[in-house]
Amino acid sequence: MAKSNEPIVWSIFSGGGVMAAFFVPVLILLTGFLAPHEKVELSRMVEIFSQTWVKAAVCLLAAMVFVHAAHRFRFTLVDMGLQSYKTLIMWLCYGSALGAIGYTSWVLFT
Amino acid sequence: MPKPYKQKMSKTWWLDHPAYRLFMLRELSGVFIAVYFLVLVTIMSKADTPEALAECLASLRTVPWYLFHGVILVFSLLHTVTWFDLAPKAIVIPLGEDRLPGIFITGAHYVGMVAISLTVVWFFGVFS
Amino acid sequence: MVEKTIILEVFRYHPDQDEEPKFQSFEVPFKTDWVVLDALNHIKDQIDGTLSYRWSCRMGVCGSCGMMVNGEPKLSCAAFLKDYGDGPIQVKPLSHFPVERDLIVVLDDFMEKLVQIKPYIVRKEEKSLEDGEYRQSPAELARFKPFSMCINCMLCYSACPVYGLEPDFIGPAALALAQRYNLDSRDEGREERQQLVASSEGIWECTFVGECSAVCPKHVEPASAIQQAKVASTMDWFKERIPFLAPKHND
Repeated sequence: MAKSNEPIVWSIFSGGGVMAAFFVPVLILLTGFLAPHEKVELSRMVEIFSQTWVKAAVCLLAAMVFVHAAHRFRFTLVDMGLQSYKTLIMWLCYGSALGAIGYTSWVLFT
Repeated sequence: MPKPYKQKMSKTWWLDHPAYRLFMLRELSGVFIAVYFLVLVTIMSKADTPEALAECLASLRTVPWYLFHGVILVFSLLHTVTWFDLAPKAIVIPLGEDRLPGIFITGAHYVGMVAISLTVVWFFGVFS
Repeated sequence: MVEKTIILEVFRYHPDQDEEPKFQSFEVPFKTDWVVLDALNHIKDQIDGTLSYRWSCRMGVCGSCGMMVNGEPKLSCAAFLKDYGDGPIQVKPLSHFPVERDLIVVLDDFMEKLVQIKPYIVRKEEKSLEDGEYRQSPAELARFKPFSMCINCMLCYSACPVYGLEPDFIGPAALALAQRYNLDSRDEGREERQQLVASSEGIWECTFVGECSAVCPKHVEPASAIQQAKVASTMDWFKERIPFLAPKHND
């Protein structure tokens, strides 16, 4: 029996989970409710998000959250009884996370 | 040789018990948060002209987008609450022969989250 | 006065006669101080002597009377009839395990896993008797004590959907015991246990459903043990790969 390499994904998963728990509710509040009600100016948010260091931070945060989601969804599907497609599910989930990371870097940096 | 009976697991086991249903919702919260991030970065990168910004604000004021953000907010809060609730299971702080009670670990997480949230809304000018 | 009764729907399976299990209803006296085990004993003594189940101490210590009571893994000696209203109460063998007969499950898989994680103190070199005992401070004892309360009742395995889906999973109680010995200041066997604990059949199979801890009659918190082992194993993984984090070998 060999030790698993799961720690590499698990540490990103955990990091993403922590970040999401602390930051996401307030971000949703901002873009979903405060901005359309003009409690904050969306233009100011967009301006702040256009700074390179903010973009980099958001990109990193998003990347961790995508891996977090992919990791959880992978095991959700397996737990729901699709164990026979374990490997396919793994590739699809982490592949989607990579795709989402690619999309995020593309919209933020081009 | 007697033959043991092999018990089958229900295909819908995750619907069979409130704790399992909550577990599944908790696990699915990640997907909702990921979808939100895709929307967030799209808004932030596309709304860079006054016209695009106005168009974006107009759509954010429609019912479907309020619903979208409402649903996502519920799932993201579910994630936060369950994550903080389970934190003391992974984090053990020994105090001699005792350990720091879990409620303090969970509580510290909530204090941190509220502080971060207030800082973020202040940063984006809600109080100004 | 007519004595109040309650119905027990009991899972029956006879390996030599039945292809499929069936449920049999028994009407038993409803007594407020009776537990499900008392009701089963009443059935066996008064109604049907062929009913088979395991029990011993009747006081939540031996860990042998675990059953599914209305779908929840319970020690039947601790499940009071009065907590189930007017009934009926459904009694089944522990989930996920093969059924030997009636309410008796096959223990072999759990026993093998228990042995594999070496649930005993491992020393690189045993001290001789003359060198005295292995001393331990109360604070060192406190680190692992909660995980040492396990009575091997296997309720946590029945509550764990991952074990139901992946029979290779080492499972909650065995992993909690591995953590119990890993945290013991007298033990030196962690690295040996890690080969299995940190494998894909060990802690990494766990998706933190958390029901193992919820059903544990001894508050062992296997879910907590597994999470702590995940954190420690993740740190190991990085230490083993990043040179300046690597532990110094002085021996």
